[in-house]
Amino acid sequence: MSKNETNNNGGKYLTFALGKEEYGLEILKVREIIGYMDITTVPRTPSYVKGVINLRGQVISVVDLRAKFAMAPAERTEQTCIIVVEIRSAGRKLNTGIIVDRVSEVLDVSGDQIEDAPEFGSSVESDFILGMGKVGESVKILLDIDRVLAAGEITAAAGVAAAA
Amino acid sequence: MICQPNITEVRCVNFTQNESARPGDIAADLHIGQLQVIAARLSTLIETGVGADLAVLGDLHSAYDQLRMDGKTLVDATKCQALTAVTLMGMQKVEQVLLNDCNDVAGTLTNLSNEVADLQAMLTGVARAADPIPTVGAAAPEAVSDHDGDHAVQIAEQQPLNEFDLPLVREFVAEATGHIETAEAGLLQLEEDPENTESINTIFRGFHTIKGVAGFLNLTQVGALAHAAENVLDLARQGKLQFTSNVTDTILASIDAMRKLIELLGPVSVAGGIPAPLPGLENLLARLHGCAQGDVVPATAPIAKSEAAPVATAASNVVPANETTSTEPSAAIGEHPAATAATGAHAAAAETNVKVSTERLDALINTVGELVIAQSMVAQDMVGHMNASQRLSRNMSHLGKITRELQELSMSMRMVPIAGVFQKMSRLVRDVARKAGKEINLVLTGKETELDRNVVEAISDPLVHMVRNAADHGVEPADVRLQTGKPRQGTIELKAYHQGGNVVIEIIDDGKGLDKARILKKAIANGIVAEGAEMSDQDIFKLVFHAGLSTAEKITDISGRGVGMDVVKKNVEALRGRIEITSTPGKGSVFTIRLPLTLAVIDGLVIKVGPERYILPITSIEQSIRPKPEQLSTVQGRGELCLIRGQTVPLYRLHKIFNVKPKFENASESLVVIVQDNDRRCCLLVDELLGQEQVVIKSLGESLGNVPGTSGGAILGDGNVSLILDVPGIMDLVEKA
Repeated sequence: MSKNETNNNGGKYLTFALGKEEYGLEILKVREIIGYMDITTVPRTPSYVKGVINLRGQVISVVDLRAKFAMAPAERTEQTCIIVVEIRSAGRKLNTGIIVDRVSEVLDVSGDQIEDAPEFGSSVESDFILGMGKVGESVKILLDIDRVLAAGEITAAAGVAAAA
Repeated sequence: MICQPNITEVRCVNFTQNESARPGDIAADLHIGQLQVIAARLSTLIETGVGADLAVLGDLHSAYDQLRMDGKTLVDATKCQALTAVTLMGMQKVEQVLLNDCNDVAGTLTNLSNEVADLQAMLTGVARAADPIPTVGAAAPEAVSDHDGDHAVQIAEQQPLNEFDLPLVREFVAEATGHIETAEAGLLQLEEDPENTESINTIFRGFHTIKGVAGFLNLTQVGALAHAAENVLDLARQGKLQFTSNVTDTILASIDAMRKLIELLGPVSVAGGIPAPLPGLENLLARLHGCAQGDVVPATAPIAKSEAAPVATAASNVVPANETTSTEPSAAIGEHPAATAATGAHAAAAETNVKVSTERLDALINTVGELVIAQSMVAQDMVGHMNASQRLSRNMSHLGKITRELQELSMSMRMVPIAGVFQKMSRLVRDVARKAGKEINLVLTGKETELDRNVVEAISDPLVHMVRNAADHGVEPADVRLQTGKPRQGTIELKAYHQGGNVVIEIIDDGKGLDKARILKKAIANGIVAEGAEMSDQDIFKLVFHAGLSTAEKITDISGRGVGMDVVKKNVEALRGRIEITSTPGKGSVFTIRLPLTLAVIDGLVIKVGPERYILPITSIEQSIRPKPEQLSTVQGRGELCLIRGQTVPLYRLHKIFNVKPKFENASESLVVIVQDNDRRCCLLVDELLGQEQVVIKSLGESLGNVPGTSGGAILGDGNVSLILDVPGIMDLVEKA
């Protein structure tokens, strides 16, 4: 994989926080941001599936991104949000909610600010990361949300952020 | 600078030109008619475009000249269609150029001149092909129609569909299905009332429209079939052909074949490519051709080519040629003025209806559902405000009324009349009766009864089974009926009506009734029932729903293989419906199906387990009790049991199945709900019963897929989601664990 090529993932990203790390979501994937609401738990689903909510008459599932990334659960605060994203799964579009600690801002990240995800060795998956966006002093982990939600529990993400 | 022509005006001119076209110029073949229309339109376009100073118009002009000259001689249907398509495209391009005067004119013009070149090449080809055929004067149409008839059995090879045509083909598939149904209805009506010429016209129009559009879209198989059927119908509507049962059968077979062809087109219209050929089509065309000659062609023997030639001559004796020319092309031209024929021809009939995708409709219903919830929440909040002004509360109740009306209205949009399904039955009864040599009169009542679209679709198959059974096994042959003092003609009545929140469909026959003794004997022989078991009439009748139990003495190819009734029961139950049988020996049977009006709404009991609320479908609940300690017992290694009226029923703790923390661990403090699924029963331990509610079923987000033990989610009155419990699923979960 060549690191010199300009990454073509440049564009607008919605950034949000999970713990200390900042992540980015392609803005075109984001349908809306809603405050935390009561979530109906669904039995016999993976632990990171928090349950389902009623999004204006449509029942959508909600994924706890912390649990998905095997991070310690956090207290719910005023800032806890559900970002509704539109993902593609098996050729169909479907809305899914993801729970994040805090929504930050919409950032313009140009292609040359994005570096490919560093490789962490074969045991660590990194193909759900579009790249690392360097904005000012900070590094945002730009997520390929389709892959994140399609995969099972992802164990490496917390470490990835530290290494970056 | 190019002047902006008034395109609407161009179209108007076209129509007048169509009508004034000299009939002699138009050959009997529809395609020729189409070409004339195109030629006329092309001419108008060229006139309009003169001021536009388009070099390409000159080319089009010469194409038009050639077209006008060769139009009379064009006999090859495939070439005609290809020509039609290219010309239409050329015209559209010209129109486009004239409309957006400077945008990308150069590119469009290049395309256009390429197409014109193609067109001319094709015209030359056509002219050459047409050369050997004598073309002058009144003889021309006759020659054409004979030639066509002769080749009716040979279908031009289907070309891959043009990608520009695909959307049109898709539309055609949708519309043709409607035409086929109309034609079928007309045919059955005609059979009852052979004098009804309006019915013949209805059938004719169906095939005619299909033929026209198929020609435009280059669907050779569809076109050939429609053309052959149309020929027969045309003779019939001019009174030159008796509508015998053989003709009816052949036309019905054509309707079936047409339906299959359209079905085959479905996937092609999405992906492109060549539609699969339909086996047996040539044979059918031969039969149709035979009908047109007044011959009886056996269904299995295809016409030999050598025989076909003299027959063709006979055809021109039966049909004076100028008669056909006067009726057919005039209709053709009126209906197909442009490439948009598929939409245009139907637009007039459907102007009061709007087609809406189900997706949009569902979105509307969802949104209205949310409105109802939001409205009720606001109304709830208002109750707390003592100082709410009178005006506010009056407006609030007004809003509430409107909201409820809106909800009813949106739900009613999913409703369709059951007539379509009933229509199928009349066809079925007719076929079965003919095959079995019986006389059966089918009476349909309540065709206009409306129910949910999905229910209508799902109920079709079970109804087919039951009506077929009634016709094949229920109603006796005429001689047997006469012996038992019944009228010669048997009657099957199909009834639909609303009762409470349900739709009831009854299938009533005046046949011999169910033979209790034989059902019982068979059931005992198959080990379904123990010998000497005491059974009520109802219980015995229910046995017919058992897989592998058929009481027909002989297995016919219509029914009697012992599948069917068990499938019927399964399907009806999948729709949350019930089915009942009453039967009197010698007098007949009544099968009653009760269905919910819609699949989208269920009556549910909201229950609470720990912090979670669930919904139990009312239909699966028997009763609920607070168990006394002496009713409860534990079987080592087998779980818990609850004694209900002397019977032990397994007790499942919902909180264990769903892994939630219950309010009460002690079973005698909580409640049990006794639920059943067919012959299985169990007790579910719950904390509280919150009440009954009508809820809208929603799928649990596609990402979650099928969650075991639940059949979906529902939005409760407070806007929160709650899971709907799937009783058989829960039983399976526990039993497999």
